[in-house]
Amino acid sequence: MEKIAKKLILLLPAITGLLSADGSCAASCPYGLVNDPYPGQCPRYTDLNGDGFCDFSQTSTSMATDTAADEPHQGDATNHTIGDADADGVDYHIIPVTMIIIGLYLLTYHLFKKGYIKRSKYRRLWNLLLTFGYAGTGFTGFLLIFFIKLSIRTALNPSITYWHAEMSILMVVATLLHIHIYWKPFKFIFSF
Amino acid sequence: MGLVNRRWHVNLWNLIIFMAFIVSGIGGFILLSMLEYGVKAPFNHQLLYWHVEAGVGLMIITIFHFHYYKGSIYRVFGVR
Repeated sequence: MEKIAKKLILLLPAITGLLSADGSCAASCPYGLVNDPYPGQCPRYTDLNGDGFCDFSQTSTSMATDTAADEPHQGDATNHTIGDADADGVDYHIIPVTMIIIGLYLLTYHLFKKGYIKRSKYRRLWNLLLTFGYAGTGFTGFLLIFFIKLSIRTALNPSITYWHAEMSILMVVATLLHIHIYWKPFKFIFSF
Repeated sequence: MGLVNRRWHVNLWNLIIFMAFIVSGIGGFILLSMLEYGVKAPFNHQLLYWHVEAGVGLMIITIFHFHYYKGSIYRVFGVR
């Protein structure tokens, strides 16, 4: 009992930290976007102050800056693209991740063609990666839907979005490779 | 009953999963590319909506896909 109490005391600062992080994100965009212009990137788009940007994506400092700024800048959606929202350094590495997956596929395809690995192993490897991609994308996607629908805003949301995007790159590329592997059966799906 | 044979049934669901993948997977890839390169289009909101809807469908149809290819799934995970 004493050990449990000690552990709880040790965990207290961490719990407090988590709760304060949650509190600081209470009125923020679940996608982590900043100054998201009309019509917004999600169904939760809210613009009560009528400045053309989602209120959830506006921090108190950015809103104060907007108010203090010159009037002609208000509602100028062209100056606030999605790229601005990513100014905090979120990079989804689409091309590098795609190139790495395709490179790995070409390598395994070459090894299979040269007879270094069996067809069953080659297919098994890519089916496993595809399943992993689907499971990761599906799980993080469902988490995002629940978080957005239930208006749950935590510090974890941006990282869930990030991993949803990364897993979806694996899923999409691996699905296209899956179609390549099973090209003959795939052609029959259009012949009823 | 045997009104439709297995091949027809599998082909039908493969076609449905393929269409769901086109909307959700390729649609999501387009959205991600637009987000990455700062491209804003008027259809973003609709594409995001259909990406989510088709994504939910895709996840459910994937379970059906596993069901009718369960022999392959067992082999992939080394169950048999």
